[in-house]
Amino acid sequence: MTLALSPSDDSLPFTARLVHRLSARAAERGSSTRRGFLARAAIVGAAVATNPVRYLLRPGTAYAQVTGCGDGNGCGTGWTVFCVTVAGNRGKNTCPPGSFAAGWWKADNSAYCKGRARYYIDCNRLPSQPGSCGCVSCYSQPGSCDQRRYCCNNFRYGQCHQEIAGVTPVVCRIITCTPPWQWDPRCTTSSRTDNRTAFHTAPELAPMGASDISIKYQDLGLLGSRLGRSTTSEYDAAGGGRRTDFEQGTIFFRAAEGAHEVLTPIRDAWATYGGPAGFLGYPVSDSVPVADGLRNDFAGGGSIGWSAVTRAHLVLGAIRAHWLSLGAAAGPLGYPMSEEEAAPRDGRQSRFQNGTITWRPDLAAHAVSGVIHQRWQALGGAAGVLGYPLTDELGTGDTRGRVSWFEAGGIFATATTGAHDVQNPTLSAWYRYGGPTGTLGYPGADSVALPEGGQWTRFERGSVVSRPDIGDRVVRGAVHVKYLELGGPTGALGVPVTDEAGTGDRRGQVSWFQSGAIFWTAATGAHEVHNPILTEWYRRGGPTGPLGYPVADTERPLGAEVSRFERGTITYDILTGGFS
Amino acid sequence: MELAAHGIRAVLPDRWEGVIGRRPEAVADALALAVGQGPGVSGVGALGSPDEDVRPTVHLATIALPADRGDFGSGAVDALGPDDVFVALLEYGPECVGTELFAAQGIPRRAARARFNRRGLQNAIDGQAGWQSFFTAAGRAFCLYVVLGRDHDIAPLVAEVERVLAALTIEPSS
Repeated sequence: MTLALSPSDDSLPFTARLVHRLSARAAERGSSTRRGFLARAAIVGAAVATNPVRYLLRPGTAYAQVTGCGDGNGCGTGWTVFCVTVAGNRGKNTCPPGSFAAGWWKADNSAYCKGRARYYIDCNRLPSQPGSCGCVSCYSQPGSCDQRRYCCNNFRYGQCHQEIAGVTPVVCRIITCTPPWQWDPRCTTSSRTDNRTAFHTAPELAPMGASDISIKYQDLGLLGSRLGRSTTSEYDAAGGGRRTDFEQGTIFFRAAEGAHEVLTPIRDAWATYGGPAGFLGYPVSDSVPVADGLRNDFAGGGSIGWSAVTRAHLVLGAIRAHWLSLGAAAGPLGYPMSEEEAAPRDGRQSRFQNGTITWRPDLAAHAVSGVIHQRWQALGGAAGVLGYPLTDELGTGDTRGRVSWFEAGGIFATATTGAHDVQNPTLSAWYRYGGPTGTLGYPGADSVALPEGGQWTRFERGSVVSRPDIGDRVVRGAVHVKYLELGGPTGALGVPVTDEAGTGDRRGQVSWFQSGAIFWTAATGAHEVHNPILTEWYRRGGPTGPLGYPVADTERPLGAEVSRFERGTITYDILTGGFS
Repeated sequence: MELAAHGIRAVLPDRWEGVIGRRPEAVADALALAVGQGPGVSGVGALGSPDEDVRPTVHLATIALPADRGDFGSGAVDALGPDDVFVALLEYGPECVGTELFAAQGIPRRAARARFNRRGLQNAIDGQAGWQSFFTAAGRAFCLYVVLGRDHDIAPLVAEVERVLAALTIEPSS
């Protein structure tokens, strides 16, 4: 920025025009030295452009305002030292051990932050560590001009970590050009301003006119960041950007994307896709840490997730958008375990630590995760009997269960039953009885394919047996317990041929099976009756006849079958085929 | 003199003056872009970020308040004489209500002398004493900050502060 242009030039920023006018007035008043400085000192060009009034009206030399430690750095000025100065924390723009970010304020229109607000975050002593710091009113470190107070001012701005009560001494101050609530989510946005601190600084902090990369490094914590020390100066990067390399990563900058940190594991993976010159382009996020891993987002529409366990993988397009919407690595899926891969019938999928996201042109992207994912995978995933997911995991309408819906059914899960699939047409029969919150409850076992075709699905309080020749039949309650005891569809009774029905006397219930029936009353309980005794019993009047309901299951003494009823017994002689 | 704005009312004794106001809010990146800096830190402009929650600030003092002063009174406290007092009442966002820091209920009307301390200052100034209290009143979160122009024989100043606090009222947010 030059100050030699006409102050009426509307193409100039407002502040530059203001400087021009103010400096001209200063010259009229005889402040030629200052005006001359304004005209010549390139070092303060940006600073002056963004702090014209303050610069012009404030005593002190311009040089002192842009270098070293700025204003109020001497002993007895009453302000607190910067954290980068503190012994043991030297060079780290982070709170020292035993302190916490307790609040913040800003100075507007700061030349240290390219004309934006500059934020000051106080690190106060943790209340739990009362002996961890003693007041030093003149902090002196070799080679440092920052001699402000250390651990003296018992004061709190109060917007950060409000879960910590009380006011403790301010140990030191952090500087960022990043809003504090983005820097630490435990800081709130309640704004405080103190422009009188606008020129407080320390040599290690980003100076006025610093590059975006230098400001980013400062905001990440300088030596307290994950990047470590710089290993290069700033230099040109592919695609018109700039970069600086560090021990543990790189900061990339381009005007369109801003400055962002890419730590080494992701930077290396990104390089295999061409780095900034490739289709992913420049980073649009820093390396976001979650659990033991990291994620960077790129302008080209991709994200790379890395963890020590999964290594680095690229997530793209609709699958990426869905992963991000679910919280990315912090969500239920965790980090990617694969690059995006082809899935059946023109679909795509990415596998994650705890699930899969699928996408197909006719279906939106959906995630399957956790125990439901395990069951879905056991059934073959998108290529299996259930096919693609049609939803993410949903609630079932109660507080117990979760469900994911697929092309050919659903998988239902509760903490007590685990995750089990219910496939069409069993699904519709089950929902006739109210589904998971109805009579039958949640599925308690996986669906079983029957030897003669069809499937058997067990629920908490019943079973649905589906076969083309019998339809979808429901067995439930005490009859169901007895049916399971007798082996279910693969036992002696075979598959049900009716749903449970009343016996006509308002006393009993019956379910009919291929080879017999189970009768239930409150007084007798549930008991089986097999053919041929069943036929004979009915010849004698059945449950409403003189014998009444069965009171025991079929007994099989040598050469015979015996069914006992409320008022008698029928014995079938296997050798003769006769009844007694 | 009586001041009332933003649901806060103060009645000031003789020799006091005050102001209840809010700083201007930031306006997106417009100004930053206007000065030719281009996008940088997301949503941050010359006056901070549009995400910032700019809430009322009350400054009361026995001196003429300078225009250029920080929210906690820097610029004003520098001008305090030994018989002067500065009081700041600053509101915080509703998300702060119910937190440990703002757990105390009601405006602290009693400014016990023992609470004032030379170290209880945002910016230590020789001879001054300060006291800070976070509290919730009428469902709103506040910080009260008081600076005395001297750190000895403070009873008359404390009594004066208590008179101001006694007449301070806060209404629920509308």
